[in-house]
Amino acid sequence: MKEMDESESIELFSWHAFKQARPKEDFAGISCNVVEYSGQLPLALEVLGSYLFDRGIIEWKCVLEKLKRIPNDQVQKKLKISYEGLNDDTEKEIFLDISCFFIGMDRNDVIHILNGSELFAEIGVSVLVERSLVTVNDRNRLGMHDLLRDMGREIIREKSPKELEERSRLWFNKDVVDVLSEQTVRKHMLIFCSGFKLSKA
Amino acid sequence: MHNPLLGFLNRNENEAIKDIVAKVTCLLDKTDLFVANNPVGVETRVRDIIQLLDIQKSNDVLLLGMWGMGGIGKTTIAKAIYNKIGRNFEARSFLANTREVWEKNVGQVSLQQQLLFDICKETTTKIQSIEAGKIILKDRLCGKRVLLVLDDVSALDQFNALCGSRQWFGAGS
Repeated sequence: MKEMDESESIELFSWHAFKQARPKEDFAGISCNVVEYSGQLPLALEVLGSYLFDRGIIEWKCVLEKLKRIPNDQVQKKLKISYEGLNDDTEKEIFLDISCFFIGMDRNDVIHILNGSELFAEIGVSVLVERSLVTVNDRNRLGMHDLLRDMGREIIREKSPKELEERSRLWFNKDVVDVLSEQTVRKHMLIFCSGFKLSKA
Repeated sequence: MHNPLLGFLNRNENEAIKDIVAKVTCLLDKTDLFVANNPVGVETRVRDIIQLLDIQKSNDVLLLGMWGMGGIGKTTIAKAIYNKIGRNFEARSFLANTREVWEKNVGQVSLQQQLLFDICKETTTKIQSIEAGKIILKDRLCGKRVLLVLDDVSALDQFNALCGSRQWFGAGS
């Protein structure tokens, strides 16, 4: 498949950045630039557009400068601009939790679980949805694009590439078993075992 | 007094029942997928691909692969196609996130199980292993004209377990 063409890209971007089909007049020029550096990739257009919604021209210029420095094939880094721009740590934590454990689960259940960690999830999840980082479908299930999910997990992985037990979250059954069998679980590690059964080894 | 059922009763009862079942099934079919809030450029791409499928003319089993970088909209287009032409088939199934589910403990069999349920509405047959699943699917699917979408397939194994060969499916699938 090919990328979107320029006019389609601008339209999709505008729906997210301005909630209308065309850019606002003052932002027409810079919109074209942002679209160009997004690689005309629908996912990047949605995420960056949603991030820039209701922001001033200075912030737009800042995002554009960041985008220019990222090579076109490194989409994940472009998406990460939006994650890094999340206002507070609870929103980032919620994003990471969803990327590891909660995709496909009921929104209300997830909020209930997250509030157990005092994450103010009601507002947090709404912010992530507004930013197009998380979706909620008509059956109230949470979704996240593969690339965003992988980005979330990469953020966790890169903090401790080798030491599994140092990671804040584990999402592969095998990793959980490895760490538990070495009994080195750290206090702050969150292990969520959804439908997970220890096999009789 | 006018009775709407009279129209049905005047014809062969068998036919009438079939008609009623078909209409009710259609009304109850709420299996369309959510595509996108702002589906820009989706319509033209869907049209292009439906042309490729050429579903009106061919009775062969058609396989179509969509390839492109992540985030380019493959899944969005596939969902829109599924919604648009899905009702032309006897049954349809959309298996989402194949790669992710596949890597889970019982994911491989659960994908086969879901396919069996979507197409045959069967819950009684329990698939015990991938190989057994292949045989069951081949057996149950081959009489039906189906639309099957496998989203995010990353390895040949996945394809082999869920869509072994053209012989698995009925004419026009």
